[in-house]
Amino acid sequence: MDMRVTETGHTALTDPGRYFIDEPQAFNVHRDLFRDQALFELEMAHVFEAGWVFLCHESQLPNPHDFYTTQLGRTPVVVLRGEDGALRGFVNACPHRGTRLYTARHGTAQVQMCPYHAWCFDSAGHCVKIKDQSQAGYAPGFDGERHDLTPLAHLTSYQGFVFGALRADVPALADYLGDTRFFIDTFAEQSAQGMEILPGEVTYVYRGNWKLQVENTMDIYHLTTVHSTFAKIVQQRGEREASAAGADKVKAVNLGALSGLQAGTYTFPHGHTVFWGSDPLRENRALWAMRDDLLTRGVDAHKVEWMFRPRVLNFFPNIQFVDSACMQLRVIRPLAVDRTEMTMFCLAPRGEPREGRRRRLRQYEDFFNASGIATPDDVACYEDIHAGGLAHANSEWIQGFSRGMQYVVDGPDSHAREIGIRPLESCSGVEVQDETVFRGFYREWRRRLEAATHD
Amino acid sequence: MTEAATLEQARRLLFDEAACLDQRRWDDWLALYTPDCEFWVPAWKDEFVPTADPQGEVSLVYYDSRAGLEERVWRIKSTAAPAHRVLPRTCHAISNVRLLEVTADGLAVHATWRVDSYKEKIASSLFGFYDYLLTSQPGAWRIAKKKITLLSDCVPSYFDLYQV
Ligand code: FES
Ligand SMILES: [Fe+2]
Repeated sequence: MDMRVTETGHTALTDPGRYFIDEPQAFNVHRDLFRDQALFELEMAHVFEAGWVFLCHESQLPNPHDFYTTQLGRTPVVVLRGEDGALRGFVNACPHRGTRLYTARHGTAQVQMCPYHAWCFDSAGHCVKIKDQSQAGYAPGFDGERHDLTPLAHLTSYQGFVFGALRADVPALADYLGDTRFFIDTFAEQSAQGMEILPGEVTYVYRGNWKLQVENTMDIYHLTTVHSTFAKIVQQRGEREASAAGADKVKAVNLGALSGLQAGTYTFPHGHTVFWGSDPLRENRALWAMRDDLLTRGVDAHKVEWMFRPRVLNFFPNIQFVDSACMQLRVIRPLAVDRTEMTMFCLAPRGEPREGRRRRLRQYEDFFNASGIATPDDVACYEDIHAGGLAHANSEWIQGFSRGMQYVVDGPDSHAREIGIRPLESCSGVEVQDETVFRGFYREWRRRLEAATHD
Repeated sequence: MTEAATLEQARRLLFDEAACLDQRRWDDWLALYTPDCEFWVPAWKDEFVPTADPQGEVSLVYYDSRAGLEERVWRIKSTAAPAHRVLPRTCHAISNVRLLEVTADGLAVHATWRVDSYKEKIASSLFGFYDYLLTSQPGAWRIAKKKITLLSDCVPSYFDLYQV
């Protein structure tokens, strides 16, 4: 056993590198990454609060004076749409005593009054009233102080997806997203009017570390075991339809039909990763009805082709776009080293025909949410990993990063060159079910923490 | 039939359904639904408003026939799903049953519910409202529609239909 790491419960991270074996033919991650409370605090500070984090989609606050509340690491954040239509992000706390200002998940407020001492703030974050100020006897310097809400260092959108950062020293968002923008475009450009988040968000909290969710969405190896009942149900629907006993109105992705087809993964700078596959039943996608429209509208034919491939985008650190049958967005919020909140959204192209919208919703509910017939099985597995794999006396190193290692190439493969993207690593072939793609996430994790400890 | 007698019949059906789920009599549970039943658990748009249009907004669960319920039962019985490796013990408590309307279509019934689940020494609960449309079939009342408003919609881990 490698003895580089034996202790847990340390107070300071002196060498993040000791949690990884990253050699040409071996990659292993230490289990402390999933169970060490002190490491959790460090990743909140240096991963979530030191870089770009997804906050919301512009369709969630469409009108002037709309607000949307969320978290940036341990910091409550509010995104405001001002009178002028511009979006601004602030720490969601009153500058007076720190009371949380916006308590609803989202809503509209031209002026927000603090419930404690009634200071008032407008939708641009300015303090517009301090209660009973004239006779108050404040010290002379008080007027010169800033009483407005604390702005985030950055707030920028790409294709309607709003990202924020608490610290000023982050790369430009376009550089941060890099060539993953091609894949975001395959979501956002499905309609000329862009996309929207459909009403109805679903939250669940599982007992396990947040990085289990990061890995799971890129983990194709688990599909045929964990989702065997889902695959069987989809097959049964097909048989029922064939025997005219009842139409299959859902048309979920048929996992059984995917074998023997091309699939691949990409790793991008800043820890982003992408999985893509092939879909032999693309006419079952709700988007199929809009396909001619896409081509006549002049959307790049390569992009249209990729819109019909199952795609999973994992953005460092905490958002996942999935377009397998329907489009969906998963936002990961770590609550504790062993507790994670997931929020799920169903995305759709604006102006989609109603029948397509109906089918999209059924496909989404079928698989996802805490109440579907697939996602609960993933969650059950995270909790079993927590109960088994992370037990204290289990071996120190996780072995799950080797599958596909012989197929990985540096830089773009032929599929990537065709669409002009430059990933750091590519892996593709038939039934690769590649695990090496997780490495990109962990290498960025390590880089962030190393940068922090060398500050 | 008097209103009190009609209400009593409705209550009996609701309690029978709860007993089927808590006792894991899955086929008896399915038999309480009409083949073309609607089964709906809306999601929430914000703190106060659940989604109202299952064809345009997200639901937690939406089925427009019994086939969806049959799939769920098949899945539970298969014992192959990680989420069902250990079925929780469940306890449905139904109260405040009110007869809202008696129409040609059947009985509109409203009730409040709470389901406690217990699995691997951890207890959790979900609660909310039920809205039923019960229809009279030869020999018995059946469920034509069931809408489950889940008030506690930040879900501990995950749930299936026997936990709401
Ligand atoms: S804390 Fe907000 S006004 Fe005092
Ligand atoms: Fe899964």
